[in-house]
Amino acid sequence: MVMIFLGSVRAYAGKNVMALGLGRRLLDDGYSLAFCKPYGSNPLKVGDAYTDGDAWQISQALGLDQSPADCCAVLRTQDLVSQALRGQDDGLMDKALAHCQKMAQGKDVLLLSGAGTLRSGAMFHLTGYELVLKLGAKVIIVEPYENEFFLDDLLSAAHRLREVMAGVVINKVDQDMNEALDEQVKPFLQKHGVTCFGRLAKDELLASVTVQELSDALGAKPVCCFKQMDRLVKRFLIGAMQVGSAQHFFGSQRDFGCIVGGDRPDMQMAALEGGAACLILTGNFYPNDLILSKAEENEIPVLVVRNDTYSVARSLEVVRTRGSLRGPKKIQKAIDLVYEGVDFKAIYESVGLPPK
Amino acid sequence: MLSSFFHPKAVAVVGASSKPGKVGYDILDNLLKFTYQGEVYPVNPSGGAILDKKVYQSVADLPAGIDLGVIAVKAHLVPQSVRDLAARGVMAQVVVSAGFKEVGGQGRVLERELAQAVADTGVRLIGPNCIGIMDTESGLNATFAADMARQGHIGFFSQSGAMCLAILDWALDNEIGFSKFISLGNKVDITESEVLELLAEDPETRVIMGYLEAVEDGRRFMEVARRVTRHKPVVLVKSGVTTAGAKAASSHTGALAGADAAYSAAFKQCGVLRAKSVRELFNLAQSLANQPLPQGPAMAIVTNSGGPGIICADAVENAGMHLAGLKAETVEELRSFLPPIASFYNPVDLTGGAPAEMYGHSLRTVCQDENVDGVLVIMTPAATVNPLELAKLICQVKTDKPVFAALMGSHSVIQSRIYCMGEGVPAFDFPEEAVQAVRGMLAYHDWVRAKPRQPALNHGDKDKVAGIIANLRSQGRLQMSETEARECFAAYGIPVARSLPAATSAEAAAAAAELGLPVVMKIDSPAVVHKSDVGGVKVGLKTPQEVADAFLEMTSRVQRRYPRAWIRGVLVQEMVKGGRETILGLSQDPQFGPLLMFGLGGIYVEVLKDVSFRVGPLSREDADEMVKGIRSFPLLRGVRGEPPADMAALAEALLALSSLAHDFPMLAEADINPMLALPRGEGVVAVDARISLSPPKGDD
Repeated sequence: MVMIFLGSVRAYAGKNVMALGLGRRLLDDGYSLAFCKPYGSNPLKVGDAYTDGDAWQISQALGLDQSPADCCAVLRTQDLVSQALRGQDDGLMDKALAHCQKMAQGKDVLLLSGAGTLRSGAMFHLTGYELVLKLGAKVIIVEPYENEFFLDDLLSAAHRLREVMAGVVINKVDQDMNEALDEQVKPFLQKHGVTCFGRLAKDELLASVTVQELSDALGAKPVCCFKQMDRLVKRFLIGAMQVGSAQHFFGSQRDFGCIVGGDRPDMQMAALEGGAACLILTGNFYPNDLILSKAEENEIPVLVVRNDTYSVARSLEVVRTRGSLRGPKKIQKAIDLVYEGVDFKAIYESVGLPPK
Repeated sequence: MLSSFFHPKAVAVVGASSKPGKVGYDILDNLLKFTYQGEVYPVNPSGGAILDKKVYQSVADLPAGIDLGVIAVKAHLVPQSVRDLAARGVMAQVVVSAGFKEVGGQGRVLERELAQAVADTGVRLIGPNCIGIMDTESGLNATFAADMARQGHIGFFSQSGAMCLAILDWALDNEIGFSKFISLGNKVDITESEVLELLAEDPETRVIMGYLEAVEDGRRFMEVARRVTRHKPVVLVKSGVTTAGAKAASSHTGALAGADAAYSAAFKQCGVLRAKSVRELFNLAQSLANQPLPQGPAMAIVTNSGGPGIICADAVENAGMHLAGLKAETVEELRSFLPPIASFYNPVDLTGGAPAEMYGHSLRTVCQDENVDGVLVIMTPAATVNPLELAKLICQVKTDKPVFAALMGSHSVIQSRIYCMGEGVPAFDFPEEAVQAVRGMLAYHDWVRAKPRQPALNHGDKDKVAGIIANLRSQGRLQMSETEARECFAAYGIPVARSLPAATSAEAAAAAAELGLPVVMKIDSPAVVHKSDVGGVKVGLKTPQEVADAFLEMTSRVQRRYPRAWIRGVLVQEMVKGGRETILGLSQDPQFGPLLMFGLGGIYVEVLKDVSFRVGPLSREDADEMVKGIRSFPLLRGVRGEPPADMAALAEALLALSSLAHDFPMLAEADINPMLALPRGEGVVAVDARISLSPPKGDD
């Protein structure tokens, strides 16, 4: 039995995407598999029990026969936080270890995924670092490519993990960075004893959100087109210019969410006619009847939010980095990306998984 | 001061010009060509003579005894001219020169210099950037307007010079007279508040009429207007009514209280009649200046046609007045001389064939009826009636009741209308305008008759609130937690729903058991101001399990929405049943200070914006009016057998909020949303509370 732990130095690095792809491949290759998060930070109620929402979703997507409780050992709820703040958090590490051992029984591979970063869970004495060392799990770090600075964090993590470090998968790689990655980054990492298992291309679909997710994340009030709340929004534009410039600005863009002042019906109309996937009206202004009827006609949902345009734009950065993996299209896309970009053979060798 | 400006013994014109068409020439010409009897001294460095008057080369050369100076030099020379005139003892000055703050940049600097010159010398100054002043009694025309106003009893002031010129021109054609005509310009010294006081003292002015774009000092304006309107009506048009209100205020009150809400409330509270258009301004001012006030809302209509009579009757009802029930003697008298097909009841319809004299007789008869408080005469231009003859008859009626004429049409009646106006009988094209004017007069009558209102301030626990505010200040916070806000409201006697904090799901279930199920749960986090927007409010939790589940679900959801938010836990609150949702709010208006708001909660506030406003501190009457002033008031009174809400308790809560705002001016915004109004006698309960402070300044 082999334990593989997917960790990251930064949050929202792409661990879930990797878990889906690697999990699918392990199953395809005929290995028996269990998956869980020893420490989960995204509580979700499934039936009567709480579990980690991401872990449950991945388990479901991979078709694993696991209960919600199986998917997560220790769940970061407000109860847990309050108890930790009061110093009442004994035995969580033991609980997590016992859970992993139980899940691993009878399986070829136990795939584990961290929550947040390898340091997350420190307030419960439950960091990824401590856990993998105690479990003896092999660690694959998933890290988004930004600029050379990401190497600092990556190397210090590798140094800390020593022999349990298996290698790294680099995520969100722009097309034009492929060359630099091959010529400079991979050899550099190799020289420092870190194997690069591959890369995941930056993907628009995975970064997209549904209007419903947007609405939930922004605390918005949808005011029309309730049936179109599953439309995907791939990018955002702020409609703050003169109407005359709008056509040029929106250009040939499609599937964009337009953040626009609730008191700018002129820009709202321009966005409705310019290919917006949804309108986000700021300042708590309701749209006028003309806008509403046009939105209904074009089936473009309109959300009303209380905040100003700048605050909304800032909140959207958070929404976008946390892009969820909901929906079969996104799940398939995630699996495809991992299949295309990752050297599974190298992983198997590195973690000591015998061929089937 | 009034006499120096309007009855000066002598006037100096600094910047007098010899070129017709220049402001410095036109002012001098206007001072000389009308009936002003005082001396006029032109000043210009070139010397010589203009319009046969010796020109003084400098202010220093002027003789003593001049009390009004009019300055029309280039902007950069104005501050020095003010100082020079002051040195010659000319302490009332009018600056018509433009090029000050209205042009920005250097103009702003010049305006500050001008203000400094005023402060240093103690002169009183009208302008700059105005067209000047007129007094029809003394014949003084110190403006560059093309003509002189007709003598009358309306004291007019305007912030916009262009409006002055347009109104003057229009008034001349319509035989409307003025006592004083004042163009305020940039209001560097004398503002609308001083002008109200000046015109209040003026025996020739019966009604004060003004066009305003902004008030300089809202509190002072209210204080002066409240005093002046007790004995003289003030009618104002305030432009800039619509507001995009694009500020994303954090409270309902802030978002709903556009710039205009404060003006409307302030005008109402100090008895100022607000006209919505310049035409309404004239109609009302003309009526108030020349007609006695109606003593009640019972109107009589005398008409020669049914249709306009009905339109007028509708307008009377819509304006909150009613048609007078004519006494039997009146009806009999009318029957004695009107044709049998006429209607002898109100509206009295003389029918199309009625000649002018029949109108006169009917009008006299109706005016004598004690049941009638005011009379509206309507005429459509039938061939049988001579409009001018009728106009004369209307103007001859001797009565202590207000009489208005709606002489409908244009071609054949315009002269008659102008005749009426000249004789002081307000005359209109359509009856609705007449009704609008009566309604304004009636509102003024009610204002004068009502006892002056006094602020009703409660004594709250100031120390408690001061302590909470000091704590926020020490931590550099502006937003109170709900618990802190609730404590502030409770300290001023506003009943708040009981609630207990809980940091874990087990504590939440225990708190619910203590308060008694069902309960309400709310997220407790300083990062979440609008809890319901993020699913941070759950109502009707019936079992300990539901409470525990709601705790986990709510805290997780908020954590997802605000990853960086600090979550203290939740507040578990008793669930108040059976009340109607209302909202009470406070915001700070830059001109008038604390602005209180009341409305029905939920969609009534969100969508219909059905709210009422008053400037604090509130009187008891203000608070009552706020509660009764919303359109959806019938819902509070109870429909379909519902018991009425406890409106007295709502008014008390408004007074408490007003007192809190009065004692702590640093409260920027406050919302009690919802405030549940229980059935009459059972009080109100604040269910959600929010207070934010203004950033600290100086000594607070």
